Amino acid sequence: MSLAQSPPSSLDELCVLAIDGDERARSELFESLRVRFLQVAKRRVQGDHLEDVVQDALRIVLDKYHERTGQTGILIWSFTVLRNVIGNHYQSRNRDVSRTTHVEDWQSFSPAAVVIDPLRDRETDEFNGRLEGAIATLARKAPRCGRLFANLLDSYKHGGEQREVSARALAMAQQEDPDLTRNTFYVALHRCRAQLRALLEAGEGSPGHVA
Amino acid sequence: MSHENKRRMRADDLLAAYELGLLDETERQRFEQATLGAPDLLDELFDHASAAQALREDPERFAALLRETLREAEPSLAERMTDWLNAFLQPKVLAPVVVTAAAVFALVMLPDGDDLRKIAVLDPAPYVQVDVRGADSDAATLYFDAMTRYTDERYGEAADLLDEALAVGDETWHQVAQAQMYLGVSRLLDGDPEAALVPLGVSATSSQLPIAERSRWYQAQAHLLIGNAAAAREVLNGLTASPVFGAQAAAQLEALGEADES
Repeated sequence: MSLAQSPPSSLDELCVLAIDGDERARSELFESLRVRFLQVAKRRVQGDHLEDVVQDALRIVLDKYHERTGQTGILIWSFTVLRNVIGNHYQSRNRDVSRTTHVEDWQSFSPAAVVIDPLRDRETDEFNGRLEGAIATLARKAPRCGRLFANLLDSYKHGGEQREVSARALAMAQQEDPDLTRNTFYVALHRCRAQLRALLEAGEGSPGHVA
Repeated sequence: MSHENKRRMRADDLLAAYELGLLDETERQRFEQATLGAPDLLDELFDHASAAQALREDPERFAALLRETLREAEPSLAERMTDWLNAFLQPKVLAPVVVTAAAVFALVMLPDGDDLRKIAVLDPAPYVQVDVRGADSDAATLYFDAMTRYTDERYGEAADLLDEALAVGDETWHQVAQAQMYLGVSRLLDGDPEAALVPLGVSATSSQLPIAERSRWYQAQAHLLIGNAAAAREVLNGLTASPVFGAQAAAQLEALGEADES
């Protein structure tokens, strides 16, 4: 499908078209990502480095996006690349300045985000360990959230298209909560995600933490 | 999902569904458009990107962990009996003493054939109150109020409001089956299993399987509390194939068999 006759597409749809060789889709995809990268990066990187960091991240995304094998959406995947590029930027900057330099704008990254390979987080195992801890704590503290996520992950395991995965996860959740609609399912998922994020930030999944 | 419902959903309510890949093409496109004017929304996606990616890329690992944790956290028989006693015995201060005695009894002896109530499990049916902006009918408003009482464990008040909601709801109201089920559950938890059977009988015939199965489960509990083993057994037999209630139904049937033998 050519973009010339089509309504606006999602980034994932643009990605599919771009991989199929649609140059307009490719241009639109990268412009869309650039705009979002800038919005995110300008809150984290000083002005004189902002464009360089964004361009570095976009270049990596451009080189590698067609080789992605996982199920993650293009925006989320691209953001993990940007996270790592920003992490590398700060790591190299910190090597060049004295330890007493105030890194006032390096607040929202854990050391785990500072990596060498922007495509492969060398701290993945450490992060996954923390995520496991946070998820287990979530299941203990909020079993309904635990079951909601478990159903969703089980639905991923069964495979299929987005519509199928989504419908199956909702149907599984309705077994426990018959009143759940698609809207309220999304809202419930959002609230559980917020709890998971809070646990991750609080370090409840960190090694050695006792819930 | 209707256009009206889509319009009502706030973009950040869709955030988790977006990053976890549950939105369809139109929803994804709308959400992404919304991010352009919402840097905080983009920040949320950015900050949580690693977790979202990990969950999508390795669901088996995290699903297995969740299932194991949930299994370990399941309430024990004694805890479930405490819930039952807290709902039915007054004053509540007596409950721990009675629970201890009942637990010892359950461990040492087979259930008393004349006391089917000991077999019943009375956990409240789960319900999550979601703010319905601009509820579109009297029935929906009453239902919302009723379920607020329900989540506050004021089951008698919840049942009365659900009765009212069902009385004013017309054929366009889409929550009739849920209302009947929660009415039955509320009556049951309010200590009136006989009154629970009528609405549960209606919702048990719902075309929505989750509602029908859950209603039958509570029907069985009502029969047990009334002391009607044959009716309870009949309902439980119909639930043994259920992925949600099958194991519990089988366990209760076994307990009923043991009670018969004794």
